[in-house]
Amino acid sequence: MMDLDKIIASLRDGKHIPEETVFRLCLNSQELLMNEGNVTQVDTPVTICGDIHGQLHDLLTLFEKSGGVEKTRYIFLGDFVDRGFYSLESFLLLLCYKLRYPDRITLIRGNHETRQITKVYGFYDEVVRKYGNSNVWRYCCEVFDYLSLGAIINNSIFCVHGGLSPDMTTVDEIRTIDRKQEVPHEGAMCDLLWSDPEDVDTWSLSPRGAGFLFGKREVDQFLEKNNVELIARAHQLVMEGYKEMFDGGLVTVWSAPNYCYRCGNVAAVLKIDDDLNREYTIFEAVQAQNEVGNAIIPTKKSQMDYFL
Amino acid sequence: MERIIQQTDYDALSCKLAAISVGYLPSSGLQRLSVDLSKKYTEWHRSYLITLKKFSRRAFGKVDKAMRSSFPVMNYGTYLRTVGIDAAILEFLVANEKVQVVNLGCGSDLRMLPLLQMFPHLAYVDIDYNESVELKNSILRESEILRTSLGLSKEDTAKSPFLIDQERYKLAACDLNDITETTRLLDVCTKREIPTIVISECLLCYMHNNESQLLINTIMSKFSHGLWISYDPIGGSQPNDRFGAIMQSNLKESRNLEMPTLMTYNSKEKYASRWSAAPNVIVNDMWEIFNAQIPESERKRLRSLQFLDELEELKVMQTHYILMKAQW
Repeated sequence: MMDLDKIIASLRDGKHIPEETVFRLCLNSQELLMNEGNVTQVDTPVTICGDIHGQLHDLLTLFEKSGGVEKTRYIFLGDFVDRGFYSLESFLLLLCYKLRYPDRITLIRGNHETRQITKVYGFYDEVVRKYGNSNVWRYCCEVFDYLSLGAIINNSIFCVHGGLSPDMTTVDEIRTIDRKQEVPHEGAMCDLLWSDPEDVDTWSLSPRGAGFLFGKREVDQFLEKNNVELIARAHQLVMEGYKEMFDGGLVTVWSAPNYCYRCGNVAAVLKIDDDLNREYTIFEAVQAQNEVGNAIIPTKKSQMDYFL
Repeated sequence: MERIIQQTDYDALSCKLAAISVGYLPSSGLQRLSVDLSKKYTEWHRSYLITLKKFSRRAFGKVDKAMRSSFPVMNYGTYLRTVGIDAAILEFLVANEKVQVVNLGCGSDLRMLPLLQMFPHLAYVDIDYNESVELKNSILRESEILRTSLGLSKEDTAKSPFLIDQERYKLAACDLNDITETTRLLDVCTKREIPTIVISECLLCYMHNNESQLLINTIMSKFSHGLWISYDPIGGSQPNDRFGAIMQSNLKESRNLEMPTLMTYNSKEKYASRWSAAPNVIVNDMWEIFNAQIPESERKRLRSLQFLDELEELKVMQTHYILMKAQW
């Protein structure tokens, strides 16, 4: 058996995790995730969390502000990796919690949990920088393929990373997808991870180049057809941390404060209680510090990206 | 401080090379480039990078590495900045027969190459810190295709105060904070009565308020007709907007770079107020330009190049960069 508590402690300190340990963590995680459906059933009370993007220090703040995994049930809506400088540690920490407290934590796949996107947006480079080869990246990508595509809370709240798909309008249809693969460039699985809500009259092309834009009409239809009252999703930066749309039928939750160490936004998590009441907790970015309290510039990059 | 500011040119260069390598640039439509010039645009920039290696392996390494790890959100921004400025230049060039361009803080910018070929009556002056223009001079003369495009000789034999002194193209060293030196230089290399385009692309943001205002006033009174095109960041003026403050702190911490007026001219309007002497001033943030000036066909082309993972982030960034056009 692996000593998960010890690995968790190392991760929280930002210590290097041996390749062999990562390999076994990933293997065990796949075994566990394999048994989950495309749409996991989750009970209340539960706290819904949006994009993390490798901002490990902010992930630790998130747990601190929302009760911690020992006492609280969590759903993470994906985008654990890329952009931030601690994608690997953030993802492994969530996997460790998942293995240690399987009923307490649900992980949903985001559009960044793919081979193609992580090669462009930083996770691949981070692993090569930290290990000198890409093995650990490959182990993680194998886990990505097993992550759920959604979750449903008390049969009333549908959780997904991006949004809806014109190809599949019921949760039961979504359950039939063969999800154990790299995210395709089109089709329902792609749309669930890429689509965005917008003030549009009908399905429209997404400016991101994948997925669709959908409007109030599509959301209302989905809610009615599936007998749910809310779609909770992440995927879009919201400067205020969360944003309800379409008369409260959809909410975007964003959990990466000061996104990319640059955007100046706050972050939020959404707690759903047994009566399905919504309670938002807002939190801000903290500056990583070393043992003597000096600010650590959390980067191996020589600079932040600006137009100069 | 001077060296720190000069080094921002490597950022601009690596951003542009990244945008070119993925295919964002050139935009033959918006930059009005023929098939031949589009091809050359890419070749010129590639050659500039390869030749840079001969003069500074360190700078080359830095630029090459940054170029390879550029995120799509940066490529979009570089694209917008480049085509935004080029479109403004082209509009003026098409409307006026004989024009001179003064590019203040030119760095490694190569936009004079296509423009000089497209507009036979155009004269073009590149000005920057001594060290920056010396490097540019060396590269332009060393690279065969760059040298040929300008009709330069490999060795600089002419006795001239300028590093390059041609009929239509001049490359000159000057500290733009020194208004006496700047005035003296412009007196020799420009003509007062010719309609003049002045470009300041990420230049004024590094200057102190007095120096930048003096530069603006002096140049505007020097030329009888002109168009000033300026691209810069703004700090943001909304109550909860922290972008500017974070930008200042990030740049200070990571490279000791300062932007003294970022929070002074924190809105489009305040930024443009420095050209209040001009009767016709238009200022847009780059997000407005993305939405209003980039045709759908072009946006479709951009979408096909890379998946953009976060549109809101693009919006946050691009609402904090502006393009100002002041005509007098």
